[in-house]
Amino acid sequence: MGGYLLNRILQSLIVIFLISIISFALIHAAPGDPAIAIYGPRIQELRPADRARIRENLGLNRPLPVQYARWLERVMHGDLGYSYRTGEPVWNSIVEKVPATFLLAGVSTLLILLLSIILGVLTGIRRNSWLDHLTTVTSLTLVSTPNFWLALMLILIFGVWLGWLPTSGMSTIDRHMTAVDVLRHLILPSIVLAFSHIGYYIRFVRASVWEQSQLDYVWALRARGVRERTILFKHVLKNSLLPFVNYLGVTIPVMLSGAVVIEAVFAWPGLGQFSVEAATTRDYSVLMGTILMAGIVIVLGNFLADVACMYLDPRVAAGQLGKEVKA
Amino acid sequence: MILDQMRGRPLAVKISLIALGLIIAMILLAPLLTPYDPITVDLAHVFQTPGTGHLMGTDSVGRDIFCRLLYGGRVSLLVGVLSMIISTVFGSFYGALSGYLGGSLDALLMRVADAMLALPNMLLMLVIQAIAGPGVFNLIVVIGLTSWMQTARMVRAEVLSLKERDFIKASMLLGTPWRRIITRHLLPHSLPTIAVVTTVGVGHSIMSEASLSFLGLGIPPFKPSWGNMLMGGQNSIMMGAWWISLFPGLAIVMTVLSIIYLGDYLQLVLNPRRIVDPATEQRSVMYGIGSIETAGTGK
Repeated sequence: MGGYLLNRILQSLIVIFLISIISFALIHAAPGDPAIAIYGPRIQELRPADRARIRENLGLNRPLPVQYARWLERVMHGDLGYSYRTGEPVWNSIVEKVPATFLLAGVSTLLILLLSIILGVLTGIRRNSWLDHLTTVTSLTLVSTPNFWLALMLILIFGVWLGWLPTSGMSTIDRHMTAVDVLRHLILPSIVLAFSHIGYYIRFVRASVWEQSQLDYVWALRARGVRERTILFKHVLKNSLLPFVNYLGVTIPVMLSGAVVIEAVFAWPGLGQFSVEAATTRDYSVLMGTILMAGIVIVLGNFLADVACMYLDPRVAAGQLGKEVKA
Repeated sequence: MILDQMRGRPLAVKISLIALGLIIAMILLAPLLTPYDPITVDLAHVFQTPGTGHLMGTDSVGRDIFCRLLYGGRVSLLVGVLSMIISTVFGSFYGALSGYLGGSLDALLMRVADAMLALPNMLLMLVIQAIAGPGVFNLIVVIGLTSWMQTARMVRAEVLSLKERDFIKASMLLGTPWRRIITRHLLPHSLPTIAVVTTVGVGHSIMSEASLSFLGLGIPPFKPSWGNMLMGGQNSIMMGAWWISLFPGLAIVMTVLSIIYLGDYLQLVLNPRRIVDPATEQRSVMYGIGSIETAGTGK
C-alpha cells in the first residue's frame, strides 16, 4: 500500500512539474515585452537604456532554465505576478474567485452523483427497458448539447418567460447577501453544469452495474438464495461504485471546463468568468495563474480520488483490479 | 449501392446518416436555398419573427437566420473536420511513437499527454487562442493542438498490444526501419481505433468552435458560424427573441448527436473488444460515448 501511495505521489508531482513547464512556455509564447507592459501608458518615456535595465532587473536576459527556476521560486511563494489590466496581484484575485467556482462545481457534482447513481443503477439492472432507452437517448442528446445553449434556453424559459429565477450574478444587487438569495441564483447555473455532463456519468454507472451483475459471485449469491435486493445493494452497487470514485476524479477537468463557459453566461463571479475576461482582454499573467492553479487543483483532486479508491478497495493498491476471471 | 449498405443497420444509425447527409447537402447548396446574404445588414427588418419571408426570422441587425445558419454551417463543419485532421494525425503519430519506443521515453511522452489532459480543455484553448488571436485558421490549429491526447493514448494502447504480435516481431528482427514499421504496420492496424476517436472528435471540435466563438474568441463576429450566431442571440434572449438562439443551437445538437451515434456504432462494428490500457490497468472507458470523456467534451 505504501509503495502504491508513493508511486501516485511521484506521478502527481511529475504531472504538476510538466504543467508548470507548460504554463511557463505559454507565458513566453505570449506576445508583448514585459518591459513595455510595466511602462504602460507612459510608454513614450521608455528609452532603450531603460528597457535594457528593466530586462536586466527582471532577469529576462538570463538563460531560459534560470528564468524558469526563478519563476518557479516566486510561484512557490504564492507570487503569480500582477494583472496587466488592473495591477492587482494575480494570486489575491484567484483566491477571491475560488469559493464561487467551488460552490457551483460542488452543487453540480452533488446533483450528478444523486441522479447518475439512481438512473445508472435502474438502467444497468434493466437493460433494454423503456427507461433504459429513454435515459440513453436523453443522455446522448444532453451530451451533444452545447452547455451555453442549454443555459440560454433555460434563461429564456425560467428567467424571461416565467420570471421565476434570476439569470445572472451570485446575489441580487443592492440587497444584503443571504443564503436563500445565493441559492436562488445557483439553481440555473448548477443545473446546466450538471446536465451538460450527466450523460457520461449515467452511462458509466450503467455499464459498471451491468458488468458487475454478470460476474460469477452474483450467481453464487443467487444460488445461495440471497435476496435480489441484498445482492444489488450490498454487493453489486458497492463494487460498481468503486470505479466511479476514480472516474469522478478523472473528470474534474471536464467539470471545470464546463464551469468556464457557464460562469461566463450567468456572470457567476468565479474563476471561469475571470479567465474568460482575462482571455478577451489578453491579460496573460492572469491566464497563466488560473491555468496553473486549475492544474494543481485537478492533480490534487485526482490524487485524493486515488487515495479514496485505495482505502475502499485493497485490490487497487495491490494492482489486482480488473484481473477477475470473467464468466 | 448506398441503399443496400443502409439495410440492416440500426434505426438510430439510419436517422443519423440521413440527418448528416441533409445538413451537408443544405450547407453546400446554400446559395440555391436562400435569396439572402449572410453578412449584409438590413435595418428595416430587425427582429422579424419566424414566418413568411424569413423562415427562421431575422436577428438584431436584420440578417436572415436561416441564411446565416446555412453559411455558418460551412464554417462550423470546416473547423470541426480540419481541426480533427490535425489532431488525429498528430495524436496517432505521437501515440504510435510512444508505444513503439517504450521505456522511459514512452513514460515521458505519456506524462506530457497526461499533463495536458489534466488541464481543463476549455481553459487551455482560451489561453492559446488569446495568444494566437482570433481567426478561422488560428481556431482550427488551436482546437487541433488541444485535442490530440486521447487519440495518442488509444493508439499507444493499441500499439503496445500489436508489438507483441508475431508479424511485428518478425518485422523488427528483419531490421525494418522504425519509421516503416510505424507507418506500414502499426498505424494501419490501429485504424479502427483511430476512426472511432476521430469521428466522435469531429463532434467535439464543432462544440469547441461554438464555445470559443460564443465567448468572442473564435470566428470574427461578422463571419457567420453557429457559435457566433449564438453569441449574437445572447443579448436578444432577454428581450424574448428566442428564434435567434434556438435554431443555431438545434443545428449543433442535431449534427453532434448524429456524429456521436455514428461513432458509437463504428465502435461497435470495428472494435468489439474493450481496450485495456496496459500501463495503468484501468479500463480506458470505452463504453460507447465513454471513449472521449477524458479528452474533454469540447464544451
